[in-house]
Amino acid sequence: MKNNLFALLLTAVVFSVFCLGLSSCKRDKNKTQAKDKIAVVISTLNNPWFVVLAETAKERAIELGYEAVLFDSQNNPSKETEHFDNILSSDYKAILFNPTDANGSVVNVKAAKKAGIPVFCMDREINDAESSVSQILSDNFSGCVALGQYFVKKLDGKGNYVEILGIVGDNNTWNRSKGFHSVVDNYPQLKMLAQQTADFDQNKAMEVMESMMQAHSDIDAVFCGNDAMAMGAYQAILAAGKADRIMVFGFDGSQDVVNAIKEGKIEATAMQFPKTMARTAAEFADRYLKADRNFQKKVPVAVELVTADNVHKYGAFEKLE
Amino acid sequence: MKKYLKIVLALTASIPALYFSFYTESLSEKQLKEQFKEFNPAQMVDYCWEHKMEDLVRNALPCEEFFAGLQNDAQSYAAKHGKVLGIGSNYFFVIQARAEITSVDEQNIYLVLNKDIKSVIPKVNIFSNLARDASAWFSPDDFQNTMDFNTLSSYLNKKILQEVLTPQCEEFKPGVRIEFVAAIEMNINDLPFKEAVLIPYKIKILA
Repeated sequence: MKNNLFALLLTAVVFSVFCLGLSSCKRDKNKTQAKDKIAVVISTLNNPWFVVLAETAKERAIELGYEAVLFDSQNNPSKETEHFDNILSSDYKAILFNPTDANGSVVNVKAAKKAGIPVFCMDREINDAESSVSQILSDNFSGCVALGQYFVKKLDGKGNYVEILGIVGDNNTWNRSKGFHSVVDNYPQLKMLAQQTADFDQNKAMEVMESMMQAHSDIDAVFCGNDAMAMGAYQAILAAGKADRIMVFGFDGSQDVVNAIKEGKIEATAMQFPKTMARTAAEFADRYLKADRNFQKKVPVAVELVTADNVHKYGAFEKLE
Repeated sequence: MKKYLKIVLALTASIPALYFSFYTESLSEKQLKEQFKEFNPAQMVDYCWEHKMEDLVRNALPCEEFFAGLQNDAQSYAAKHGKVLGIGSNYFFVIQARAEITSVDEQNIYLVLNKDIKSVIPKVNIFSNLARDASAWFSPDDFQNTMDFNTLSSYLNKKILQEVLTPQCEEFKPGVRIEFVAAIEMNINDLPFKEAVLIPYKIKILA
């Protein structure tokens, strides 16, 4: 009897200890999960395209069980470096990164790598294939080849045009411009009258277009490196009363431009998919933190040409189901 | 006897260890890596054209099989036989076919594939990354940035014009039958095919 009681007591003690252990493990696990933070560092939040990129990355990271914090670099490389300094000293587990400068941002990514924090680039490329775990990028060149072909078709292979470029230090600017020129430069009767930068900014593009129209009265078309600049250029053209004469081409797939294509104000854009890029980056980070190390270094995301013929298939920055 | 057995066993065990202690590569591989340390797109394209074309032609999908496969189950056919670059619904294939030229203009050669698919071969300008991506000769991971990767397309497209199209340009006339191996792109959301652009790696005029 005494032995049985002792055995019963011992079983109860062992069981209680086991239960306590389990509950403590669970508490620890919850505690660890709560601590896992992912930083989303975005070049600028002063452009709807990047807001979609940032918010989607943040939402997906939260869905995957992380605490996600957004940092706005305001298109300023030194601001971006400050963010990285904070992140590297604040126990973040991964960085979803949209760089301000293809060369200037490399130093930040290298610092993160040195600190053991994986970086996943979104949309904008850095000129270093080794520092980040993966770079998920729009296939800008192919998108602009398609735009260039449509541009030639609309202008029937002849006429005068101007080009408004994005940020000079960004690879996307040049991939877009080179893709476009790889087509249009083969048509000698298409003459580029001017090429200027407006830093992907709508207001700057409006000013640039105004001055281009003052210098050249015979512009037939304008190719813009993004949709914000296309809207800025269109505003300037409208104000000058030349909306019927000058054709506008953008790149991005923003709601404004999709609507403007439907209304016949803008000829075409190339649809990028920021939500796909942001989700992929967050999912890559999650896989990395779960010990997966098998990643493609560069992941191009296809871009699709949007014109009056197929605009009904598209919404803001996405293809409608 | 036991001692000899031990020695034999020890030697046998050490063979794999020794084998895996060394990394060997052929002299040609080594020379190739050295050669391409500096990015030289023309050289890279020339190398692939010379050394990888035979494989590409041998593995090209017969045209009838390609269209039948797409008709049956496009998604799984594309996943099995197509190449995709990153994320997207565009797949790239290399096909081989015979067809009759229906018309020719300043820019293009027109023909009909698989009875009713209007197809075009550009003969003056080749744009896009179609030939590069269908060949799968290059991966974006191997380049410092995507601008270098895209430059390869310009060189490959130029090579196709110089080697395949321009020398035979005068012979492309309506009614002429040709046999070719070409790159073709398919968006699985835009099926069935209405029109196809073909970028040829090889074209032979049939008698």
